[in-house]
Amino acid sequence: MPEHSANLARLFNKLDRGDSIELALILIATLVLIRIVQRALPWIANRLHGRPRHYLLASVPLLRLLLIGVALALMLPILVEPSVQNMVALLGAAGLAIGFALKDYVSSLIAGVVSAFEQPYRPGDWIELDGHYGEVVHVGMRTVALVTADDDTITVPHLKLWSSAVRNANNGSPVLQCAAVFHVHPEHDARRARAVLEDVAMTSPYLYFDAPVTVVLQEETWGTKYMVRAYPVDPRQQFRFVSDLTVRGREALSRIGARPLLPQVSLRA
Amino acid sequence: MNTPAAHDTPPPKPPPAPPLWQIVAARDYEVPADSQPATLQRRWRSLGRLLLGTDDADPAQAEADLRALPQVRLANLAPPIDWAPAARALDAQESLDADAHTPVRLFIGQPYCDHPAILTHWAHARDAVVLAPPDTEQILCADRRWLDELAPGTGRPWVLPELERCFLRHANGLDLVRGFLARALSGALGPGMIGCDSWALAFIERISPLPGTATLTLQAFDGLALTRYLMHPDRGQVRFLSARSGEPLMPEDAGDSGDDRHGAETACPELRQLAAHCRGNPGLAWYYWRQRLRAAPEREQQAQAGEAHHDSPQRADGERLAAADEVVWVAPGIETPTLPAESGEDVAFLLHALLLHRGLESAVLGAVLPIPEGRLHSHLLRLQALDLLVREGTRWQVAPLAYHTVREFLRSRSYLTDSF
Repeated sequence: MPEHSANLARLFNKLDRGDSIELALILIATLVLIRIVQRALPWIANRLHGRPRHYLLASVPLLRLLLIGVALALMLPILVEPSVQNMVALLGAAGLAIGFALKDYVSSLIAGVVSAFEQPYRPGDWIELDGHYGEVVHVGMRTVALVTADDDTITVPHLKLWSSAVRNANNGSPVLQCAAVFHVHPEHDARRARAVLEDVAMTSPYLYFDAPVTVVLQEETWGTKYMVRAYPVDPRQQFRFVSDLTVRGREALSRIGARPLLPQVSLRA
Repeated sequence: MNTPAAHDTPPPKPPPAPPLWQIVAARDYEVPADSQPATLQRRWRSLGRLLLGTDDADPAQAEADLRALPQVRLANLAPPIDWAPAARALDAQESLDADAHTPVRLFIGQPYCDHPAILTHWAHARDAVVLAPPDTEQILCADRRWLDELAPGTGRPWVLPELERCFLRHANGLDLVRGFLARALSGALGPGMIGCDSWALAFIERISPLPGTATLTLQAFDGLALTRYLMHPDRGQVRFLSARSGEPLMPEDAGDSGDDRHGAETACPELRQLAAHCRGNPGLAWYYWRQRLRAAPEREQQAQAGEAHHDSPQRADGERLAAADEVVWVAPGIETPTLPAESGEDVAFLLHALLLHRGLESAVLGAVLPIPEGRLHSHLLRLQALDLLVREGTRWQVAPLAYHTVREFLRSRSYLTDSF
């Protein structure tokens, strides 16, 4: 037993005053730099538009991971004599503690590291995760924060990555596709309706011209379903873009005599 | 070592200057570039101004001392551009793009380059029929009577000077322009010329592609072309001096080689920068030039008049004034309007719609934009107060001096821009 204690004591270096100051300085500098990265880059990005905004936001989690990695690389040799034996002992002890007490927390942290490399979502992406759809505003070490269309902030642990599907609407690109749906009575000129709906999209001031506009239709038992697929200039305009398409699309369809489908109400008791 | 024979040989004549007004295929338009060191120097200065609030350059003539020119003098020194020479250049371009598959040519004009005036001059020269655009009601009702009234090909050429007045960016506003282009490009109307604004064309090409159509435009004015145009001897015996350096903008010996001052081989940095800033658009450069001209301070003018009096007391007043070159200072730069930092999508939509249609009336703006009428009016008045918009009759336009700012604002936000 005394021999084990002696071995454990040898695992950690004996810290003198200089080492302690050095550790504290590294820790403080890392925290300050992380705070600056997390505040300054989104602040700048939100004053930009399009690609520069998107790429600057996406760089925040990667930079933070880089800073943490550098800090650990600087701190570990001060704390521990970096031999294979010591590292195995340290990781074994840490694994045991994590396995019992902090399983979910550490799982989220590891998923956070994975998300920084695999990038299923980045700040600026529009994603659906765990039933919530919104813009990723922050990718932390343990959680991801979304702001929904209702201006609610939803915080979801990265842990969900292991078991849930992530729907990413723009996947790292500054443009995303929107779809406006129209339900039309089957008695109408479908060729004209398609042309009219395409013009509705082409004349929307929200439209991003470097991406295609498509109008697709599908026959259903109750009538015809049209979908206008197009891209807004800015992903943040998606709801207003769809509203604009819907309002003007309904007017245009009614002008050519294509009636919207009314809901079927059963009068039976 | 020079030989005696070499002394006798007259110096070689400089090659003739290229024509000032050149019509080229749109793909051959060359946006003038400012020199790299000058661009870096300007950025460095603006960074210095931003960080320190000072300008490191010591101006030769403090701008505050200079006086604005009277309107009459300004009208003589920078009269409105006469577009007739551009129309003559267009007339001379018969063979350009002879391989085009349609009998119709498209003349693209940048904002403030008055392509309707150029095409009207051209129509007079060619005795061509000038087609009037449909009115707003006809566009929004897709009234095909306008199309039916267009005369079929009679052998006489026709001109539609303003294609941008034939559509509205509205779900009902595209049928007539599509119908017209289909008829014209098929040759049903015979040979003709369509004039179109560069922004409107960018939009029209998305809704109705124009394959195989010869597209012509006025070649960009680089620094040298601007020097030749803006400081033409017709403006009188005037010496234009840079307020920044005190140097003349036109070299002293440049005027010796002929009336048109073809001797100038390089443009001064001021005009080179102006050409690059305006992307070769002479109409826009003219607005900047007018704003930058200044009269000398009063005490200097009096001293100049005194010198002229001492030199030749026997001469009549008129002769004395003619003998002494008038000095006009050119201010180093002018403050262009800036967009407010909080400019949102309403402002972007409004500015974009005005550029796509080369100006719109407020009632029509309400029809093409998803902005409530009250808010639209408030935006229009606010932007007018900021010198970003001007009202010409009932039509709102982007102010010429705000064009560069507005174009950059829209481009940075990924809105459709023209190809110039």
